[in-house]
Amino acid sequence: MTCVLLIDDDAKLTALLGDYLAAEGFSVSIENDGPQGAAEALSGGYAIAVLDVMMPRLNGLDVLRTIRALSTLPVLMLTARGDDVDRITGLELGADDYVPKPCTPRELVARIRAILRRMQPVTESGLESDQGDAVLVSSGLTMWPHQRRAEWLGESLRLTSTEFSLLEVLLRHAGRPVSKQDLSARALGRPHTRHDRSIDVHLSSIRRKLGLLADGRSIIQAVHRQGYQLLKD
Amino acid sequence: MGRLFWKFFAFIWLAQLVGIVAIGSAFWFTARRADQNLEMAYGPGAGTRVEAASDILKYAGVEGFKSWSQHERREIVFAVDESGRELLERALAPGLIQSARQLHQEDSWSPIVSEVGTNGHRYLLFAAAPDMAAAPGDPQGPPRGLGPPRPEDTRLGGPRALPPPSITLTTLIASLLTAVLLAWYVAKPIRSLRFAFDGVAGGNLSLRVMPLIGKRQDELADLGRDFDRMAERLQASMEGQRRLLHDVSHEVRSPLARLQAAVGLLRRKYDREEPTIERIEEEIVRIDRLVGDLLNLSRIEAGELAGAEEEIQLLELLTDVVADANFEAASSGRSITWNERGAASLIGRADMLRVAIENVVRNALKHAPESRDITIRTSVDAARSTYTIRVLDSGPGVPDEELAQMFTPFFRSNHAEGTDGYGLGLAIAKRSLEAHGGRIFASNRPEGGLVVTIELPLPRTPVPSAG
Repeated sequence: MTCVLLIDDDAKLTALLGDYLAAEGFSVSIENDGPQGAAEALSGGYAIAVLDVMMPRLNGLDVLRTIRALSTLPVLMLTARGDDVDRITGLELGADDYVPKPCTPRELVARIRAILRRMQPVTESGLESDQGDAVLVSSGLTMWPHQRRAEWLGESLRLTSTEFSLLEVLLRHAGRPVSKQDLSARALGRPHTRHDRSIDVHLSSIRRKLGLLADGRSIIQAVHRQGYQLLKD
Repeated sequence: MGRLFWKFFAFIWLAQLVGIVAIGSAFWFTARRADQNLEMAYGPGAGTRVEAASDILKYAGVEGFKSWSQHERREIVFAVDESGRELLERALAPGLIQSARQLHQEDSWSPIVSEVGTNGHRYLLFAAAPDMAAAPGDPQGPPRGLGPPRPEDTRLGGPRALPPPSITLTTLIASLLTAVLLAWYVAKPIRSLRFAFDGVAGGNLSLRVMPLIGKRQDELADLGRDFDRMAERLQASMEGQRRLLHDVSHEVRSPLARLQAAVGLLRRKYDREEPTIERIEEEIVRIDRLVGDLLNLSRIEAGELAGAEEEIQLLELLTDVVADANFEAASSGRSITWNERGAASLIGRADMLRVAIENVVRNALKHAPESRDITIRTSVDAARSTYTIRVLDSGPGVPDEELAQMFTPFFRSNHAEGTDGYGLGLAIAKRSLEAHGGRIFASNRPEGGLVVTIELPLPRTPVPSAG
């Protein structure tokens, strides 16, 4: 059973959402306090954490920072609708995705499922499925999708699940631009919407982790009006 | 320097100049009178000179006397006729003439006063010397009596010279300086106050004027203190209002989130297609959007603008907006046509502009349901460096007196029936466009329907768009 950790100071809301998630077949733990939530998230045993970034005590973003310092546990943020600052900061800090609050529980479950599905390797029309040792290599980047492991120039990369999925999609299409719509559908598991800067924010943090090539360029290039492209050697 | 400064400066300087001239002439007159402070000369030389003068007047006539007097400037012999007029028109104290007359009456043989009849007049001649008490401390000067007069006295009675230029210049500069100082002293706190008023009017309520005015203790400083107190109260009240709005919105959203979760559970338990539940969900979304709009509007009004400034290609922005609106319009079997003209770019906040234009198009879709077609026309007016977006519908239009009110929050028409009112969309559009230096207004089309016009200022040298 998939374990979901709900961190939100609104106890009534978490109780309702807990019931809903339980009915959807998840096993749910609830924390109504930031520091305890962070500690619980780091205890292991959870597939995903749902975190409210608007908590008054120990700001949700601080909780996220605490979790990210030690773990790549997938984190879904609940943000205030229209508050871009929180959302972008959250994504930069390594949150996997966000849902504006208030949201319908259906939407929440859909996002949780999308992130969890991403934890499974991306399959291109079933071609590379079932090959546990499949390796993707290009331009000094090596990825083992089944083990969710990646290396850059021989060094292990620490990526969040969303970052891993995005990089995997780009690597599979190395040398060709991939549109934001495709990236969103394949890596985030949801259609791309206007105003949504998630892809850009995630890619900029991947770029930060990869550093620059010898010639000063980044291996991930933005292609005007077309999306992003991984440079092929 | 403001106009007030120059006015104060001009007035103060003028007053000073008037003062200087008045005091200067007062001194000049006094000095002149002091010069005239002559008294009868009784000395031994006086008789000789009066006698010589009498002879000259008698035999050489008035002209001779005049030329002698002017020539022999060192000799001071006056000739006064019956009416008290001096022959050379030199000013004389009446007392002096009086005492000369008296002396002549008492002793008509006195050598120092003589009477000469000539030219039909009788002239009384006498010598006079400056009163030594009025001009003391001249060691070279003659003792009391008729010595040769000092050189300064030679032009006795004639027009006195103006003060030397250096003194005039110094006085002028000093008066200029004090005028500048005084004007500055009064005008400066007023300038500070004006600066503060401007700032507060522009939304910067944290501005205080007392640090600019300093430690003055007068009515202007009191005014500054009053201003600061007012600004403080305004700031507190505005901040309170903003916080209230923010808190209310936030507080409304929490139960809304719970409600949404509860409805979700309800939906799971009962019929998933239950229309009542669907209705509840719709209304929750509507309330949520409204709360979001309220927050958005209060942010814009507070000057917190969303997003960063960037170069915006207007054609690209409109392509996005039109595509979206077309998608929305298609659900009711309508469409949006756009002339796709006017490539231009400007520096602004893309999200704010997009929402603004979107709201106008949405409004057209919502309030002109009969209108099969919504038309968008864009154009660049190079002469005025303005970008114009016109959104036209062929709906019922809006009563003329309500055209301006459409852009106020929650405006509800008295005439339209059954519509929701304009909500906040157009108000947000107006504020967002104004934040970009643009404007928005509505008018009725002669052929029926409404046209909403958006005008945005373009940079002076418009960058042609790539699109």
